[in-house]
Amino acid sequence: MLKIKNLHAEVDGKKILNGLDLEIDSGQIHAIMGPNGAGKSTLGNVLAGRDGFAVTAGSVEFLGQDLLSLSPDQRAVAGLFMAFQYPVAIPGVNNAYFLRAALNAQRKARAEDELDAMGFMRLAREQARILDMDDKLLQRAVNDGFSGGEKKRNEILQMAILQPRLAVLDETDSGLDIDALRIVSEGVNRLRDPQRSMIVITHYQRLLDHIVPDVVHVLADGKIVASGDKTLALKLEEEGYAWLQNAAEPARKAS
Amino acid sequence: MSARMDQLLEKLLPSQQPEAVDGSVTVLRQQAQKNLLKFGLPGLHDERWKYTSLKLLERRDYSVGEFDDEAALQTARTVVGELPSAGMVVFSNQHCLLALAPEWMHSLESLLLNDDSLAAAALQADELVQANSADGFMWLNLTRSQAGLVFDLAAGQCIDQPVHIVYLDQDAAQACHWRHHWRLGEGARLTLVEHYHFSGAGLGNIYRSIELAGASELNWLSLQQTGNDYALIQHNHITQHAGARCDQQWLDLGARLARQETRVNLSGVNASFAYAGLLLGRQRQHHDQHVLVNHQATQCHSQQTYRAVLDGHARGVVNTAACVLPGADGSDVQQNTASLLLSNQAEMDAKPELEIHADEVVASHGATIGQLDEDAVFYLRSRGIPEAKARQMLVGGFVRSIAARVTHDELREYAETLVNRRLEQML
Ligand SMILES: Nc1ncnc2c1ncn2[C@@H]1O[C@H](COP(=O)(O)OP(=O)(O)OP(=O)(O)O)[C@@H](O)[C@H]1O
Ligand SMILES: [Mg+2]
Repeated sequence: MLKIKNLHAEVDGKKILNGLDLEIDSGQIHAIMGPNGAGKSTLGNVLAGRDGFAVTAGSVEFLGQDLLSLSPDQRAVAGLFMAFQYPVAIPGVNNAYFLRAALNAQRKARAEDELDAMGFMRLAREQARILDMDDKLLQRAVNDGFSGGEKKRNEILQMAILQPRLAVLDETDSGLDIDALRIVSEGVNRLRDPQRSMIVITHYQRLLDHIVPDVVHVLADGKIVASGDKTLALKLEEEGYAWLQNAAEPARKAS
Repeated sequence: MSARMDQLLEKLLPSQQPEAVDGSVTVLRQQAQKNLLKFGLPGLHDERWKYTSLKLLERRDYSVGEFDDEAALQTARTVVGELPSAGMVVFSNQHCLLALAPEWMHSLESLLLNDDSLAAAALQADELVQANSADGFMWLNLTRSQAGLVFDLAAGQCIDQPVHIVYLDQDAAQACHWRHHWRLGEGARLTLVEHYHFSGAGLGNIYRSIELAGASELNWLSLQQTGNDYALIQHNHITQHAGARCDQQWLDLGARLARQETRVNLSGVNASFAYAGLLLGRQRQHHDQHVLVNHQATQCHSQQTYRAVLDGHARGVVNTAACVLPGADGSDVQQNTASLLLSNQAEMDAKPELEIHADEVVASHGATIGQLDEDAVFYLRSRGIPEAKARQMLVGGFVRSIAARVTHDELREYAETLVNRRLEQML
């Protein structure tokens, strides 16, 4: 599904990713943990194609395509979805209108039929209900005045509607209350599929009790410094990241 | 007056004198011409004209032009299309066509022929013109206007479907001076929509005097989407009596040069003036708006909201001014202008002015100028929306609140469609 090789990237001339390798198979969930400022969100932004994040070396192959050669919207059409750590507010643009425009833009690009307003609203309401999200949020401006948790739910709602092949969830758990964490996790789990993979970026092992990963990685100083199964997350929770610096072990490839 | 300006005046004011019929109209016109020759056309040294150069007008020649009533009516019908309508008034060159208008509307032209008292009233320079606020274009309009729409809607009459006013040119490069005199009687209600459909490099000089009697209500939508060569200069004088409401949406989408000066007197208790303006400029378009409100009575409300989006070398000016006069206690004044610059060459001046001489006044004003939020563009693109469409959606969201003010459902949808279509052309 995704093959990242020796990825180097910088922002404003500052080197942030330093030779990152990561391979994800279809249907897998990989968790990425790591200290603040390690480059986790940067990885997400590089994958999504944000301006200003310059790839200086390495390659990313996504479903057999050279991901880095695609524009951000082409990447979405190819099946990539990024749930942002800090979703932006877009005053004046109606949330439902935005979601339908996004879905139909993707469908159009794939030469599929577009969904009419009625059909779309049925789909959106159903998904909002599953995420225990107030219908009214569909009729407000995108993320405008949304609470932290509402923004995160709105990201997952978009994922549920857009049905991507690979989703990157960047700290979707931060800002969610305990019940919301469970509900949103269930929403994510419902989207687990042999055809769909996910990268779950988080600081807390707690989320991984709900969304159980196949592989856990530690990202530090711009590369993967350790990988393991879900027990790695438990170890990190107990011991922090300090032991990794001493371990000086080369990054292991995910299997 | 500069020599160049003299030439422009000569072009706009052919040597023929105003018609020599006896009567108050003639006297007024002669006086206006004297003032015009004495003060000349406004220039960059005039405070309210300092943003708008007349060079463009000086370079042009103006003709009288031919016209064809049937063709004009036909075009106007297609402009109004399927919109609900309580009647239609068409201005074609120096003519006002009332064939499809409600019977209570009159043409200035025919009133003048009879030297009717309404005509005199229409030409009567009101107190605002007497004041030193008058400029050369107002005098020019007073001395040369032939066509105009005059009405006095009877007290209590409510016309809820819109009356459409369509301005057309049939021959390139004419200078036209239209003069309107509108009055709503006590408790009357009217919805007006003005459509500007000029294609040539002409000049339109429109003057409106509007009086809203107690508790009357004017809903007024102006759809300025004229061709990119036209120059449009407008002056509006509005007087509102107790409890009168004026809800105005002014969409400046087209024209090479569009200048507008609106002066409002809130002269009766609890009068309310709500203005929502949109400027969409591209290429070398120049939009210059001045809306000046005088709060003369207690408990009046005025609200001015602007959104400006400028691309290319476009220039925008929004000057909002409110003056709360002594004794106008309990006034509520709101001004808000937000501008979006899409290119480095585009230029915007937002000039809010607030003068308060009364007590218990609630006033707020804010003006922001910014660029499109690139994080938001990326957000939309990351969901699969192509870049151009993403920008359109964001700019559309930025300006949405203006057309959203139109209360009439079909008109609002129409206005929103026009704005979106314009944005598609721009972005
Ligand atoms: N636009 C930018 N300009 C300069 N530095 C940046 C920019 N974006 C990110 N960085 C820097 O890159 C480094 C990695 O940031 P990133 O957001 O990827 O960290 P992270 O691993 O997601 O951290 P956190 O856990 O706090 O979210 C940080 O030092 C950050 O300050
Ligand atoms: Mg981060």
